Amino acid sequence: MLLDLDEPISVGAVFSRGLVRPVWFSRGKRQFRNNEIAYTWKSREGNACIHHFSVTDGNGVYLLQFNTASLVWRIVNAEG
Amino acid sequence: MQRADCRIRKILHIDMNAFFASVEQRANPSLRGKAMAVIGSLHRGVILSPSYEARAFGVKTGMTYGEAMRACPGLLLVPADPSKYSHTCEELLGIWKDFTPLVELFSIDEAFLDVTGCERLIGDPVQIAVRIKERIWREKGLTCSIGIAPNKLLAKLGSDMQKPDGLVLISPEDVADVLEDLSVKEICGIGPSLTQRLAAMGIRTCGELGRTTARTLTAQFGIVGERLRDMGLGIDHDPVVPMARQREEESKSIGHSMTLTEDCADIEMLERHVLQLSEKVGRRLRRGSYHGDTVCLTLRYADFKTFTRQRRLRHAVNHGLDIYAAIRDLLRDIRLAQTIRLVGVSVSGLTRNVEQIPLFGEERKRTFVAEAMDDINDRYGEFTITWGTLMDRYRHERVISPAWRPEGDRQY
Repeated sequence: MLLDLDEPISVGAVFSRGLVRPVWFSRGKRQFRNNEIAYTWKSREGNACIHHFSVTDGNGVYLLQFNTASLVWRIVNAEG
Repeated sequence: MQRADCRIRKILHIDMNAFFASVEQRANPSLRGKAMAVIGSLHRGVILSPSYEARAFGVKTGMTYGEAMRACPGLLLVPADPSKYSHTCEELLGIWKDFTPLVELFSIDEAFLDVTGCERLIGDPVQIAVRIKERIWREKGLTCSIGIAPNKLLAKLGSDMQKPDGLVLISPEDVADVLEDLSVKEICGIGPSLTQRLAAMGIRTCGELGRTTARTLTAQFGIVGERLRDMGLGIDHDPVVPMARQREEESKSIGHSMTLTEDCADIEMLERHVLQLSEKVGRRLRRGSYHGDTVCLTLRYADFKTFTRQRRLRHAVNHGLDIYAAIRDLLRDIRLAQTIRLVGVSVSGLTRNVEQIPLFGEERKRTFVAEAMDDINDRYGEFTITWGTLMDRYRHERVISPAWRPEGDRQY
C-alpha cells in the first residue's frame, strides 16, 4: 500500500567524497534506520538539484528527497 | 592480412533489458521477481515496459491497461517516473564513454559503441562487452543484452537474439549463415508493412532478400530498394555518430504531446491543454534559439485514430502564446467526431539564431515578459510562473519523448 506523504523530515546523513548517504530519518517520534539504499537518482527543479533515495528499513520502502538549494529533506511516499 | 582486419569495424549494440521495469524493480525491492509493468499513467495510457516476469504471462509493450490486466490479472502497475530513467541513462552513458568516445545513443535504453582499435588498450570486443555488463550490474543492478558485429545493423540483430542478459558475437564469416533463414522482419528498419510487401514478392528470409537484384527491389520500393538488398546481405556502412555530433545536427521540429487523464470533448479544456503544450514548445524553441514558421496540431480519438492539422504562419515564432493562437484556430476549425485521448503540438520550419529585434512597444513588452518568465522558470522550475488558466487545474507529469537525449536541444 503506497502512502503519499510529501512532508519535510529530519535525516541523519553522511556526506563523503562527493556522495550523500542518508543513514536514518525520523518521522514524528519514530526513527527509521536505512538498511539498504535501493536506488538513487537526480533531477532538476529550476536551479536546484534534487537527490532522490529509495531506501528500506527492512519493513517498508521509502522515497526520500534532498534539495541542494533549500537543504531540505522530504519524505515523498512510503510503502510497506 | 593485418590491414584487412583493421578495416573491419567492431560495433557493440547495447540494449538494456526491460529498462523502465528493471529500474523500478531496483528502486523498490518489493517489486523484484514479480509480474509488474511501468505504465504511462495508472488506469490510462499504455504499457511502456513489462518486467520479464510479466512477459511470461504475455504482457507486451504497447498493450492498453485492460489488455495487460486480462493477460495477467495480478499484474502490478507502476506509473512512469521519467527523471529516474533519464538520470539512469546519463549514468549508463558515463560507463559506456569510459570504454570509447564513439557512443551513439539510439534511444533512452539502447546505444551503439564503436570499439574499433580499442583492442590493445582495453581488450577485444567480447572482453569489452563482458566488462561493460559487469559494471552496469555492479553499479546499477541492471542487465543488458549486447550484440557485437562489424556494423550497426548486425550488432542490433545480435543484441535482439539473446534476451535477457545476452552476449552475441556475429563475426564477418558468420554473417551469411546467420542471415540465410532469418525472417526479414527481424531486421531493424523492416516493419510489418514492408514485411508484407516483401512476402507478396515471395521474399521471406534475409537470404532471399540478399539474392534479389537491386533492380527488382528498386522497381518495387524506389530508392530504398538498394538499401533493402544490403540489409539482406548484412551490409551497413552507417557510422556510429557520437553524442557531440548528434548535438550539432539541427532539429527539424520541436513538439510535445500528452495523453489526457480522461477522454475529453470539451473545447475549453482542450484549449487549455494546447496552451500548456504551446508554452512547453515555446520554451524549448527559445532555449535552442529557434524560431519556426509551421505549427502542427495532433489529435487522437478515443479509438486511437490519429490525425494532424498544420498551418504555415506569416512570421516565424517562438513564443508560447503565438503558437497557442495558431493552434487554437486549427482546433476550432475541427468538428470532433469523438472524444479526444491525446493532444500534441509541434513547430517545424525551424531557423536558428535568426531573431528580429522587436521594434514596437507591444511586441517589446511581450518579449520582455517571456524573458522574465523564462528566467523565473529556469531558476525555480517549469511552470513556477505561468498563465492564470493553467494554475489551478492540473500539472501534467513530464514524459520522455522518443527523441530525448541527455544533452543538447532534446534534453528537455
